[in-house]
Formats: sequence, C-alpha cells, structure tokens
Amino acid sequence: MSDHELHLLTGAYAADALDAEEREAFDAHLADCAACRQEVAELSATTARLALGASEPAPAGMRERVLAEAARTRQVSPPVADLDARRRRRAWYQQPASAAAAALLVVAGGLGWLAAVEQDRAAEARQMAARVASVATDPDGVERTVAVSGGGTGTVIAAGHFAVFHGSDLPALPDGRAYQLWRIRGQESTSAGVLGRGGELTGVVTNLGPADAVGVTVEPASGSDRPTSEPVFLVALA
Amino acid sequence: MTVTSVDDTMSGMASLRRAPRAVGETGPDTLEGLLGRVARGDSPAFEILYDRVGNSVFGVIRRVLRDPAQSEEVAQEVLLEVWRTATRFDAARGSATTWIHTMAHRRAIDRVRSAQAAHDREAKVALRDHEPPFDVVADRVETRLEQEQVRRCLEGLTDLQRESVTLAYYGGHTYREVAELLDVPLGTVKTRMRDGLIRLRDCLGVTA
Repeated sequence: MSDHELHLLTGAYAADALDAEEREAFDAHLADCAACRQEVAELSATTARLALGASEPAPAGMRERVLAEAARTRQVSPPVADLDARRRRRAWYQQPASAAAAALLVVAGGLGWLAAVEQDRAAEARQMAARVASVATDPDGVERTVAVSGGGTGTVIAAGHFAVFHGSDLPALPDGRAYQLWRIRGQESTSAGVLGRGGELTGVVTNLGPADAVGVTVEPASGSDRPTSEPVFLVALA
Repeated sequence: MTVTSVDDTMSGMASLRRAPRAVGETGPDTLEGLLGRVARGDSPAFEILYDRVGNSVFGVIRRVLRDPAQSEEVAQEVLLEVWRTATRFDAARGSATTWIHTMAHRRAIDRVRSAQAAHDREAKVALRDHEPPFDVVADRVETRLEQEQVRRCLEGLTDLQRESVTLAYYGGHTYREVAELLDVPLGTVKTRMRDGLIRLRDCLGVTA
C-alpha cells in the first residue's frame, strides 16, 4: 500500500477498524509520518467522544469489584527516560539543515522568478529570496518539521537572526481567511506577514532572538495586529 | 541555536498554547490530575476516577459487544488496566479521557475479533440488527449534554459518513466489513470514515 493510501487510513485506525495486519503496517507508517500522528491523535480524541456518547449506567456491583481487584493488583513501574535515547535525540537536533533546506532553495529560485514578473513587489521578493537562500544554505542552520493542525506540515529553518517558515499541503482556508506568520517573544507576538490561503506557503521571520518562537495562526485575510486564534503551528527556538 | 518543539519547551508560550479542552489539563480534579495520583497508588483518587469514567467505559464496550455480562468482564479488565498502567500515561500524547476510552474500545474490538477467530464468526454477529444508538438513560446532566452533542454532530454527517463511522466504531466492524455491509467500494469507506471523523472533530471542537 502506498504512503498516500496509508494516510487515508487514519480514520479507520482511530475507529479500530483495521485488521491486525493493516494495523501493524499503519503503526510502522506512523513512526515516520508526523502529520499522520497528529491526525490520528485528533481523530482518536474524536472517537473517545463517541465513547462518552455511549455512556450508560454500569452494572451494580462493578464498582466494588473493580476497586477490590485494584487493591490487590501491583502497579507497573513508570518508564525511565534512557540516556541513549536522549543522546540520539540531541544528535538529531544537531543534524544540519538538509532536505527541507534543499526544498527551500527551490522556493528561493521561484521567488526570484516571481520578482521578475511582479515588478511592483520585485524588491521585496528579491530580498526575501536572498534571505531564504542564505538561511537554507547556512551550515549552522537548524530545521524542524511539525504537523500543522488541520493538515499539512510546517518546517522552520533558523539561522542567525532569520528563520524561514515553509508550509506544505496546508488546507485551503475559506474566503477572507489567511495563514499569518508570527515571531513570538514571551507574551509578545509580532507579525511576520500574511502567508496566503493554503497549499505551499513561505515566509521569513526577521530580528529573531535565541528564545523566540515561530507560530502560524489563521486570521482575516488582511492580517491581524496580534494573533486572534490558537496557533495551528508553533515551534520554539531555545 | 537549537530548535525544539513546543512540547519540549513551553516557557513563555502559555498564553498561546492554551487550548480549550473537554477535560482540563492539570490540577487535582482533572482526569489527568487524578491519573497522576492513581499512578502513585492513591486509592481514593482511583475511586473518583472510576466514578468519572466507569459508565462511559462500560457503555462503549457494551455498545460493541452487546452482551452485558461479557461487557462487564471487559470493562473490569480495562479499569484495572487503568489502575495498573496509570504510571505509563503520557499527557504529551493525548488526554486522559482519550487514553482510557481508546483502551476500552480496543479491548472490546479485540474481544470481537478473537471471538470471530474462535467461532469463525457466527452469522448473527455480522448481520445483527443495529439498535438505535441513543436509547440509554443518562445518569448525569453532563453525560446527557455530551450525548446530545454527539448525536447532533453525528446527524451533521452525510448518511454514508455516519454509517461508516458508527458501523465501525459502535458496530465493531473492520472497514472491509463495513464496505461489504454497505455494498460500497473499499476506498469509499476508507475515505468516508476519515472525512466523517474530521467533520465530527470540528463539530465537537476536539483539540488533540
């Protein structure tokens, strides 16, 4: 089964409607697919609501039987974070910006082309392309890809005082709404521009500080002065 | 500079991250707070937790299995498992209510599937009638409100979405069996199950 077909199984997975073999294949796929994990988490939270909707009084006596059984049952010990895993994770963070950076170079090229056709915004676009390219090629740049709630994924590549956000497969928003990019410092959010209505979107965050976060919210198409909704994407730099 | 996800670094982001939830996030009275106490062997906390989820755990299992005696047996197993493995609950991966009810539903499904394997599936299981799903008497106002909302949101689905979701989740059928029962292509059921749950998620205001 292709990845795309597997991705469509998130609903059946959350409803426990896969047979054992498919479930195993999907579990393996989940390990590599952050967007699928996010969707499964949301759909499982949804099916849990279906469970609440099926609530009915439990048989008399069940409470006593459960509590009595618990009283004579040992609890398992909690898992302890293992040092190797933590080391591996750190190594992963320190990996150089790679695949997403390559994709961003393509974006930068596209922006250069855009600069040529859209004369009035040419300077702005050229400047953005240059920043995207400089961030994408910075050997010290770090990247992070996280699922966007609602669908798609977002990647942030940060280098120096700049970060580039690149969203892929973002669901199209209704008319009059747009994704907006933010630099978040403590409780202060500063707009880094309206990105667009969906699909492939790129934006640049400037004046980035070491403790800042980069977030995306859904706002009116004209943009907001401050976020008016919960972020659909958020990555902290620390 | 390193980049970490918000799951790792929450500082300063509290105001932005605050998402409304059916069940609160921390604190002694939330399910998460109760589970934390249960993990440390707190029996009174487990009693409170039982009173919160006992009926819904039993209810969802009975919806799938039908037989009250078998349902109670599985519900007891699940609740005992909650006690035993509360230490393994990881709030970063989902809410306590999702964790508990996912476990309950999966156990019921396991029972269905193993019974199928053992008996090569009696025809009556496949063809049993579906009771109207919302015939139970609710014991608490919150429960009734929750059931109302779930019913209203289920009504908002297309017929095919609703049947795909309920035959799988409440009926305990695999999506292949659902395709057979509804006489529609596999791909259609797969898709309707997914977009039906997505629509339910939005209608119920679920944030994972």
